Amino acid sequence: MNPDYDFLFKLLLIGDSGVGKSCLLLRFADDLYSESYISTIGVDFKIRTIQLDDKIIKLQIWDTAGQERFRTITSSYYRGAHGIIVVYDMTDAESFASLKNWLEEVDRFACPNVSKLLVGNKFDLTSKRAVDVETAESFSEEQGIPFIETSAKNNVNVENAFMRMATEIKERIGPISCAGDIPPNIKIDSGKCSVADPNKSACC
Amino acid sequence: MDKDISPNARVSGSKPPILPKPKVIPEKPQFVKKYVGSAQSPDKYSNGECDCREDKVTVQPLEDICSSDHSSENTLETLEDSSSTVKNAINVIKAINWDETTFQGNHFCKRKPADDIDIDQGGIATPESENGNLSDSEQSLVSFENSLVICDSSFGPYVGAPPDDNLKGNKALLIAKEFVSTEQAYVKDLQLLVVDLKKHLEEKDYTFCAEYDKVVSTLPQLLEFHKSLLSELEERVSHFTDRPRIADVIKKTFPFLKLYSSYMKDFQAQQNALEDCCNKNPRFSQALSSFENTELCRKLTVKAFMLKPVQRIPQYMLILERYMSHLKSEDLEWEDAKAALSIVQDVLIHANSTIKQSDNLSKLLKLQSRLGNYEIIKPGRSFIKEGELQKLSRKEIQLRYCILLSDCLLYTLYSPSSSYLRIKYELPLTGMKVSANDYTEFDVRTSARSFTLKARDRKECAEWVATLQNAIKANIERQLTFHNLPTLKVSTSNDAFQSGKEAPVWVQDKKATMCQSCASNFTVKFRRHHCRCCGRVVCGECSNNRAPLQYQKFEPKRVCDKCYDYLKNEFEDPSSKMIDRVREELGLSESESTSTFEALKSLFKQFDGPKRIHRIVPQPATGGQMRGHIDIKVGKGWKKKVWLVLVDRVLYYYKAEQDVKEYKTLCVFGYKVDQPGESVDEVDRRVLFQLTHESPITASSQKQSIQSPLIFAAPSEEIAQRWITALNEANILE
Repeated sequence: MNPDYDFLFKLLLIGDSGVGKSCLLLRFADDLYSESYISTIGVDFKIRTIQLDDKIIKLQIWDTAGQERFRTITSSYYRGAHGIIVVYDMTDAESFASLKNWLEEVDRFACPNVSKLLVGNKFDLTSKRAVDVETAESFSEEQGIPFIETSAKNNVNVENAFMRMATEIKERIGPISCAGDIPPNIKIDSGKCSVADPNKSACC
Repeated sequence: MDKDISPNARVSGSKPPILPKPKVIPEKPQFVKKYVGSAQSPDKYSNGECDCREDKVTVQPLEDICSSDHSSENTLETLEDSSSTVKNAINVIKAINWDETTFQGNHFCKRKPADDIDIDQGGIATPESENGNLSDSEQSLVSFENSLVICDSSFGPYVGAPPDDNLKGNKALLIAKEFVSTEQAYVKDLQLLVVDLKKHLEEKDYTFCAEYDKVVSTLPQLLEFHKSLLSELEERVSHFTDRPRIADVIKKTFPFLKLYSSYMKDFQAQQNALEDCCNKNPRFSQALSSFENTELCRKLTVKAFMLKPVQRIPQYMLILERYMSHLKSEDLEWEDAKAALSIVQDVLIHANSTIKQSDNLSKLLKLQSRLGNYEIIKPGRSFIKEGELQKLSRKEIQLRYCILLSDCLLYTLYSPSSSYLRIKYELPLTGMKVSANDYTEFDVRTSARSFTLKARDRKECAEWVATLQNAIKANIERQLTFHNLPTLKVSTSNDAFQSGKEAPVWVQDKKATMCQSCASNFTVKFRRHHCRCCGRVVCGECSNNRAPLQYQKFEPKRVCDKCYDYLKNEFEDPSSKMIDRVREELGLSESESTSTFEALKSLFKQFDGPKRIHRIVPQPATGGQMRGHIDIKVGKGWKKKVWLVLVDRVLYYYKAEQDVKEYKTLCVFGYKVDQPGESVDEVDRRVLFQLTHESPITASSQKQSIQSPLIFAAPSEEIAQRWITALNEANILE
């Protein structure tokens, strides 16, 4: 190929149904917002080219709308993803609660050092807020994953969220284009348990 | 653009205009100014704030704007290529301002001429331009809120029905068209993988084809299926106005989507196969990348195309749901769409579970290779969780590797020399009980074995307990579908420990420094014993009895005096139905059981050896506000891990947590509770707390003398704070 970009990052949007994944995607890629999400059907991914420190970065963002209930299917996407954005709806505590499951899924299927980002969407509906910032922040700290609140509708922080993701990935893979794996052949012999005869059960 | 005219604005005082003829598709594409945003959202472009995107208004053919292709990185060239897609998409956007209910034929509608209407309500955008003319996303959005109506030549403006129905019909058509246009693009993508790429490879080297065939697997069948679906759909949509029916076609053909299960299941394998081909054969890899560089691929990798089938099925679900919301629920079309939707959902559920199963199988196979002869794979068994846990044995802590399966818990040992695991016990989940008894420890009780497991931390422990409990529940539910065993229900609902019926968890030796029955201190000569019935640590004198235990198939075992009395009573008392339990447990006939029962009774033996002076059996402090291990400063040193229990206003000091008798008590009333000002013996002051007592002013000294404070060290800052709170509360007089 004749790349007109320096990096291509594959990003993935996951999260419960109705949290606004597609809206975030549309907002970021096309600067659109739609109350009805008819147009998101048939979107498999969108691309937007951004510039970060003199580098042209192409973000290929995959949407998983409609697949929320079929998590193992979604796992097909995780492969090769550089960054995963886990979205919840801050007016819906349940979507926040299921973050944990989503992250487990990420741990299982994505590559181990994939960049992650928690996004609390629907910042515009502050009056209906069900997940307060402190809860989200403490969860984010606990998981060691950065966290940001956005509104796809009012275009708050959407740009920031994706930029933050891109920056993080760039910092991670930028300097070493060829990721050096852990050298093989180092065996760590885990401490063995005692070798007392386990079949002996009598104590007296 | 005129923003003042809202599409819903009433046009009053004017006569109902005669509706013009349906507009013919303009030969030349209309041009629309790029306009982004909706009425509610801030208009970024008009605000003048712009990031690195081109800050210019682009002008694009209307057809492109309205076209609803599906892949997002499309070029204008390809858009022009796929002119059928474009033509099939919406041709003309027209806004009709409904004012009054209109009637068919009478043209009683008020509408504004199309050119007067602003389309800003909908928010229409052109695809983002990249490199001047490369459109990155072909998804364009036309929103129809607030009565914006789309018309095209084959359809004609709806004037017949009232606006609501009108809109419904319009939207349904629009969705049907989206269905078709996305299907067209999808078929093209499949074609690219199945036909174009193959041809390309064939040109390079004939042998590549065979290798590539492994990668594409079921794709050719899928392509054929979608081709026929597409042609039928195209036909239906072209007659949609007269006969708005597409769902029957979908319903008829969708059962074939089951093919996707195998595609999705093998998806990873196929990706691996493709990678293998590339790795093994650099020329194959070259051929592939030269194909990816062609215009056909629209700068996408072949792998990305391979993901499209995985995405397509959930899209069907979304499209159908959307389509149904614009149909009337009494329609036949609605019924068919609903049937089609449920097929799609079934397919997805099926695919999902197929992937899950194959995942699970590979997991089990992996474990199998570590377990040697033990057969881990069984029908209906699935893997749930695995991990290292420490087992609190009587004397020490042992590392164990636990594997939770859907029907049992495998409790394994590391083999000393290799990565193999040796199965020690296979504990069935039926009848298993799990309860957390500490922050990091939990008990696993089954009829055969019971023990305490220790996780690394609180979180891990909670996870294990929750997972185990869920697995036990799921296991019972599964079994209840087979038998309707009332006993099964009883054993789960009654979580209390049943003496004799199940194995007790043995109290660790170090947790009791004295007999839990008579409180005599153990010494080198005065040994510990465990009651096989309750698991407590007792002395030999208190446990010099044998009694048959049900969980040990009624073998006579050592039991403490208390359990002896209890079990003996159970055997004597007819109301306890011991005879039935014997029969069930040993699988005896009616006649056999009576004799066996009598034989079992004779197994009760009490050896009345010389007993030490029987003390009044003390009761360990139960309940209490606070308990835990605390280090206590004694003189210059520390007394480590004292078990401290606060009950009401009294602190009880125990040498070990299972001891029945305290070695010291302290009434905390009148003591001042606080934290030392500085660390003591290099112990951080934050984990410390102290009790200080001010003695009364005595006549001799004439000044207040303060006793040296009692200093305690908690395991953590948090626990120290909890002790301080509890002690302060104990000091408050009610």
